[in-house]
Amino acid sequence: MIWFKLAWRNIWRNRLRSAIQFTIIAGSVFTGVVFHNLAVGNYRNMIRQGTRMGSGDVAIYNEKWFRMRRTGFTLDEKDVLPAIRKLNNVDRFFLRFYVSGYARSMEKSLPVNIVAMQLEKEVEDHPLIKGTKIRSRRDIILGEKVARRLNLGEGKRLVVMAGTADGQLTGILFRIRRVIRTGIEEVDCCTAFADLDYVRDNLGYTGKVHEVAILLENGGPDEAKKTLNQFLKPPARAYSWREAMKELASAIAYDYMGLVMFMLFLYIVISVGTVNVLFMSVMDRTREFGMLRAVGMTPGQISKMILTEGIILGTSAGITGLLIALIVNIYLSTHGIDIQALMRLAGQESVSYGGVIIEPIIRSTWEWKGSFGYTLFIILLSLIASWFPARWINSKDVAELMRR
Amino acid sequence: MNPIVELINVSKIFRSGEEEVHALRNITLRIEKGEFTAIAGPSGSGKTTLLNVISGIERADAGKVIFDGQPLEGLNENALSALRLHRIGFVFQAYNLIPTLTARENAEFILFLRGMTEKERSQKVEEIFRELGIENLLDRFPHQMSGGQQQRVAIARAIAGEPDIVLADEPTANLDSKNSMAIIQLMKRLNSKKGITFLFSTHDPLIMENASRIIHLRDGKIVGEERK
Repeated sequence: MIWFKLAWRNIWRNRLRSAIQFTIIAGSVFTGVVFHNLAVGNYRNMIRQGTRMGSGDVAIYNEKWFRMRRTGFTLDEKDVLPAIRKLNNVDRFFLRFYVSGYARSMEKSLPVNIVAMQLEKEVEDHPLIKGTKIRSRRDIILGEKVARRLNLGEGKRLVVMAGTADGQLTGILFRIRRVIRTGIEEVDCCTAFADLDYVRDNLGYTGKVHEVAILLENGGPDEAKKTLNQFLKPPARAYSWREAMKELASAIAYDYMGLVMFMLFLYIVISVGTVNVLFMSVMDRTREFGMLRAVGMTPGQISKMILTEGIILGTSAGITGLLIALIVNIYLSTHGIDIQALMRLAGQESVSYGGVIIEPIIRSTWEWKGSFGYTLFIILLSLIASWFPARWINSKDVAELMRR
Repeated sequence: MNPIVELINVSKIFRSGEEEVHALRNITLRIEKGEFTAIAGPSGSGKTTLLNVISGIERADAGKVIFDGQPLEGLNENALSALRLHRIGFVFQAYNLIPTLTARENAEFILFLRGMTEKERSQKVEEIFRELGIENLLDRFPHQMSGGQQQRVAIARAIAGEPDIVLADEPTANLDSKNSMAIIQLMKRLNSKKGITFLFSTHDPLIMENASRIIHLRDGKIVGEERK
């Protein structure tokens, strides 16, 4: 108790310096936790958007199609559905068929990638086509640039020429239900979303799919992948979203590295700041430490005294920073930060990352493990930082300290 | 019976670049238990260095320092700390109370380091403060006390652990003559009543008069000795 009392009064003795030190530690915890949770929130959003636009949390492909993307490498939907039923945390799953063709208007034809999907089901959740009213199986949703180049608008008819299963070329007639502008070049310039059965039937691929995208209720793509692979027969194979959307996974990993670098910089700042402030505090009291050593305090007890100051300051500042971060986090998770204005300043229409369009409002999440871990790390760091002045004072002769 | 402190041909040299200052030159000295001894001499004569060498705060460059039969040369920092904590009381010229602790806590701190319980500490300190007639200062912080009061508390702190010897480095140098006299009388009373050995440095003739033994130091050498 006396160590605590002594340390507390020493902290209180120079309030300004202690306040600076407190602010450095609390500010670091606050900044670190808020940035960490914002980044994690953003990654979760990217993954959520990505899994809805692309592979789901886990996807089933024909191994060869996964590697080569040739239309002929399909799967029979009846072969994969029993394996999906083995999973107990499936939220929804979507069947998709991908084919390339030429979209033709009266004036010209342009290459287009058709994503044939269960449109009526997907418009409920797919970030790019959400809310589209589907009226007929001939409906097609077209990227804005391809529509403009073909000089076609909503309600107009469109023919897509594509290869059939038996190697013939055929034309499929569509009606443009909606023209979408996403800001993702590959979607706007050359992608169309059409009805799965209509496309497959016209091309002679009835019952065939390229991708089964499965959304899980509570994540766990790796376990789901493992279960699926136990029940799927080659060439069908399950892949986690990280394998299926490597670009997105590496974009997140790359961004995370940036965050780690930022955190590292923060760690260096807090370490230098803490060492500096504690050094000043210790150097101001060299004579006092000399006297304490003279009356019988051991170097270990001197270290204990300085470290106790570090513990009190580090812990109280760390907890304060964490609490403020929690409050700010509650706001950021409900309201988010709208970056649309910033995007306009940067001349960007939308943000896409790894081929996934990102919602322009960054919402934070609260990750207890990461937030506490970070706070504990900063507290630990401030303790390590307080060890240096303790070591310095103990390296001096008692008489030398008393002469100062 | 062993003397409490014995110095045999002790020398101490301070080096600053190429310059050497002989702070102590071949000092041979015995302090017996129960003595009330003053080390007298002008500034720079080596009084503080002598007290520091006796307590192990500074190590002698030559000669032997023996504390109650135990040579100090072989002791490491922790052993020297333990020796000072358990067997030596200190009174400094600038009082050197811990500014963030009250008078009671300052005195209790030494006992805490010795491992005494809170109750024992409290009892002991209150008893000593009462004995010294300064119980009214118990809960005051150093900045709330005069120099004389602080030095009385410093003496209380020094004797709280019942040391074998109290080393006082110019304990009255920062005090006026009235307070100086009061402090020296207090030390003398503790010496005669409790048998505590006092070794103190001073250059004040008025203070010297009260010592039973005066060792005169000049340029690091003992130049004379008086016993009363």
